[in-house]
Amino acid sequence: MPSAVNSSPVIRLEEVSKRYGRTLALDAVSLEVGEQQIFALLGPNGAGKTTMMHILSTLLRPDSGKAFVAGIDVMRQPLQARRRLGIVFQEPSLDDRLSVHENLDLHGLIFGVPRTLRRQRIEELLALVELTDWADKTVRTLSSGMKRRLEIARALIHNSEILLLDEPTVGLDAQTRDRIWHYIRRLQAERAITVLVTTHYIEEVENCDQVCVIDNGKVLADGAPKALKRQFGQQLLRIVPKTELDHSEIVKRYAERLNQVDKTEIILASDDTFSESFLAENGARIKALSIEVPSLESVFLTLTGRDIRDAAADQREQTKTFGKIGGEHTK
Amino acid sequence: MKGSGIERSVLMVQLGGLYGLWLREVKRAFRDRGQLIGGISRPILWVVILGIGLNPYFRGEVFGKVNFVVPFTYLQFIFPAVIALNILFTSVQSAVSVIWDREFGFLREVLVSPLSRGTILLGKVLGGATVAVMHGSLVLLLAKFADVNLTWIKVLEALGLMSMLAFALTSLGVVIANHIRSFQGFGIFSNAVILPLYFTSSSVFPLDPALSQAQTRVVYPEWLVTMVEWNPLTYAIDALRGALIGFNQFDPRLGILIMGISGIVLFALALFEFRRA
Amino acid sequence: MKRVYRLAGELGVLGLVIVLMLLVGLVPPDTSLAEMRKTGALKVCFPTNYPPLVTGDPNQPGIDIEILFAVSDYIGVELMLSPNDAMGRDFNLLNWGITRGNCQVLAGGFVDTEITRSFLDPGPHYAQTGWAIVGIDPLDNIEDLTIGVLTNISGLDRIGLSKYLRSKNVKVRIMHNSQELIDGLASGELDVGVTEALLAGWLALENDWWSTLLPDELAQYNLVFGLWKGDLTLKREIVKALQKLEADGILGEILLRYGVPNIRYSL
Repeated sequence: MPSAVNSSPVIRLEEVSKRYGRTLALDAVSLEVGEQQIFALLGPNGAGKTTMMHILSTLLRPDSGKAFVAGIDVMRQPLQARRRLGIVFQEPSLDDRLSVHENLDLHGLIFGVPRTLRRQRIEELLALVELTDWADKTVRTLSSGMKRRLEIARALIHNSEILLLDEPTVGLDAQTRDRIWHYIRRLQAERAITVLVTTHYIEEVENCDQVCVIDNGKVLADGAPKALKRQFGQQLLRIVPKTELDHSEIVKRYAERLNQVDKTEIILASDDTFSESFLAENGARIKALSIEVPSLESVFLTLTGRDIRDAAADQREQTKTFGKIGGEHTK
Repeated sequence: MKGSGIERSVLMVQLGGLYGLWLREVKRAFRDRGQLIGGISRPILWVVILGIGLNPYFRGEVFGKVNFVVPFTYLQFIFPAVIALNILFTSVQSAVSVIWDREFGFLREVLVSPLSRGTILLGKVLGGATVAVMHGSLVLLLAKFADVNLTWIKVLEALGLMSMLAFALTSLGVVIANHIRSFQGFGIFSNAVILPLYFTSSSVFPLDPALSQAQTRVVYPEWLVTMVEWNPLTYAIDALRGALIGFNQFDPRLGILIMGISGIVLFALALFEFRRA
Repeated sequence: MKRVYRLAGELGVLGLVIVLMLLVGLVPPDTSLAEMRKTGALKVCFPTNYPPLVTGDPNQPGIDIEILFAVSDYIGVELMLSPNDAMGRDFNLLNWGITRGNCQVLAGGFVDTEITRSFLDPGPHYAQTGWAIVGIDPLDNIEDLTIGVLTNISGLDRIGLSKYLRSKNVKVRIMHNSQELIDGLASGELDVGVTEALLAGWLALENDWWSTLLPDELAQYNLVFGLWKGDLTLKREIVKALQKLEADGILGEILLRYGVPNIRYSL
C-alpha cells in the first residue's frame, strides 16, 4: 500500500454523537487522523475521550454520525475494522496468571494469526519493547510500566496498522511515562503505523504530530501543536519587580493582564508588542524579566477557560490512591 | 503486509480463537492452587472422612434389620454424588471468573477481536466444563476406597455424563454471573442456592426406591420430597450413579435428557444475553 | 527452554495430586479386618442343612464350608462355624437372630440380587444357580402336575417362579426342607420338585434322580457369601483369598467334587 502521498485519512469521524442518559458525551465530533501520524486527543476526564475510543474500537455504537478506520465503517463492518486496530485500554486487560509469552500467544490465537507468524511476531515485538528476558514470567510479577509495554506489543501481534491507546500513561511515574512514549515512537517509526492516543498530560502531547483538544464532548481545536500554540497560545511575561512599591504599581497598572501573582513574581498575559512596550516603560522598576513562549497549557486555558490540572485532579487522585493501595499488585 | 497477514478462513479463525480461550481456562485452572486444593479436599472429606465416620451407622448390627434401603454400601452410594459435588463447585467457580474478566478487563480484549460472541462464550463454557470434569475425575481416583469397581466402559460412560453435567452447570453459572454485579453477590448465591441444590438431589440421602410416592411422603416431609423430585440435579446424579454402581432410582434416560436439554437451553440463554450486552 | 520447565512443573503438580489421591485411597475404611484378626477367627453363620452347600456330613461338609475353610486357611485364622436352624426355615431375617457378634460371614446359598444386596454386601460369586426341576423320571413338560416347591433362603426370584408355575397350571405344595421334598418325591405325592439348582443337582446325584434347569426366562444368579455392609477391609481380604483359590485350582476342584457342572465364575 503506497504510503507516500496519501490523502485519505486512516481514522475519520464524521459528526459522531453519543448520549448517556442526560449527558451528551460526544457532540457532533469530527476529526481526521492522517497516515503514520501520532495523533493526540487532549482533554480532561469526562471530556468524551474514552467514549470515542470505545466507538472506534467497535465496542459502542454512536447515536449519530459515522466512524471509519482504514476506510472501513466501524458500524457496518466491525470485524473487518477490528482486524486493523490494535487497542490498549485504560484498564489493563492482561491475564495475570499467564506468562508474558502466553498472553501474546493467546492474543495471536484470538486474532487468527497462524502459528509460525505468531512465534515470529512475538519474538520481534518483545524485542521492540525490550521484554524478551521476561517472556516466561507471569504477568503478575511485572510492574505497571512493563505491563503497559506488554499491552502495546500485544496490540500489534496481529499486524494492526492503527494503534489506539486510551490514556496509556495513567498511573505511571514520570520516568516510566517517558519510556512508554519512547516505545510508542519507536514502534510507530519501525512499523509505520498510525497512533491515536488519548491523554490528559499536556507535556506528552508536545511531540505529537497532531493534537485535538476536546472538552465536554466538543472538539475545540485541531492541528499541529505549533499551530495551536500560535493560534491560541498565550505568551507570558514573567516579571521580578525591584521593590514592593514597584510590585504594587505594576499590579495596579496592568490589573487586566494579570495571570499570576505572588510575593516575588508577577506574570502578565502578553504578546510581542506589549512585551516590548512594557520593557520600555517599566525598565526601571524591574529586576528581571523573561518571556515565556505559549504553552499548550495556555492553549487549553484559552480554549476552555480552565486549567487542565483542575479538571484532571479527580483522575490523578484516583490513580494515586490506586497506586498507594498497591496498584496492579492488588489484582 | 498489512491487516491480519495471511488471510485465514473465517472458520479457522473462530476455531483457533476457541482453542485459545479454552486453553486459557485450562491453564488458569492448573495454576489456581486454591481451587486445586478444594478439588482434592472435597472428595477426601466427603468420601474418606465422612465415609469412615458414617460407616458404623449404616452397617447394621442385627441382621435383617434393614438399615439402608439401597442395595449398596453408603460409600458406594455417595461416591457418584461427590463427583457431582466437585463438578458443581468448579463450574460455579468458573462462572465467578466471568465476573472477574468483566470487572478486570480481559473481556474487553476478547470483545474487540474477530471472534463472534458465540465463539467467545463457547470457549469459556467448554474451558470451564473441561476443568470441572478434571476435578470430577479426581474423585474417581478414590474408587477403590469406596469399593466402586471401575471398568473402561463405566469410566467412559461416567465421563460422558460428567461432561454433560459440567457443560450445563457452567452455562448456568455464566447466566447467573451475567446478572450479578459483584463477587459478594455471587458468594450469597453460591451458599443460598448451590449447596441446598446439592443436598436435596438425593445425593447424600436417598429416597427409598422401594416405597411408593405416598409412602415416601410418610417417611420424609412433603416439602423435602417435592424438592428432591423437582430438582434437576437429582436426575443427573441418578444417571451418574447408574453408570458407576448400577443403581438407578429413576429412569436413567431422564438424567441424560434433563442435562442435555438444560445444557442447550442455558447456553442459548447465556449467548442471547451476551449478544445483547 | 523455560517453557518446557513450566509445562513439566505443571504436569508434576498434576502427578502429585493423582498420587496423593491414590495414596489416600489406601487408607483402611473400617476396622473389620483388624477386629477379625484380633480374635483370630472367622465366624460364619449358615443353615444347618442345605446341600450341597452345607450337608452336615463331617466328611463332606458342603461346598460353602469347604471353600470357607480354604479361605480362612489362606488368611491365617480359624474358621468358627455357627449353624443356625432358623436360616433354613424362615425368610424373615429378624427371626434368624443373627448379630455381628455371631458371625462376619453368611453362607449357605445367598444369591446376588437387589433384595439380598439391601441387607448384605455380597462377596464375589463362586458359582451360579437358578431354579431347577428334580424328579424321578425325566419329563418333557410340567403342566398340570403336582409340584413341591422348596425355596429356602437363596433369594431367587420367587415371584417370577410363581408366575411361571401358574402359567403351567400346576398344583403347588410348599416344602419346608429338603427332607420333605425327598420324601414327597419318593412317596409319589409329588410328581416333581422345584428348587434351587445346586440342591436339585445334588439330590439327583444322591438319589439317582433327574434334574434340569428351568427355562431361561427364569434367570441365572450368582452365588455369593454375604458380608455385613461396611466391612470393606474384611471383604477385600476374602476377595484376595478367593482369587488365590481360583488361580490355584482349589475352587474348581471343590465344586467338581460336589457335581457342579459348567463352572462359570469370575472373581
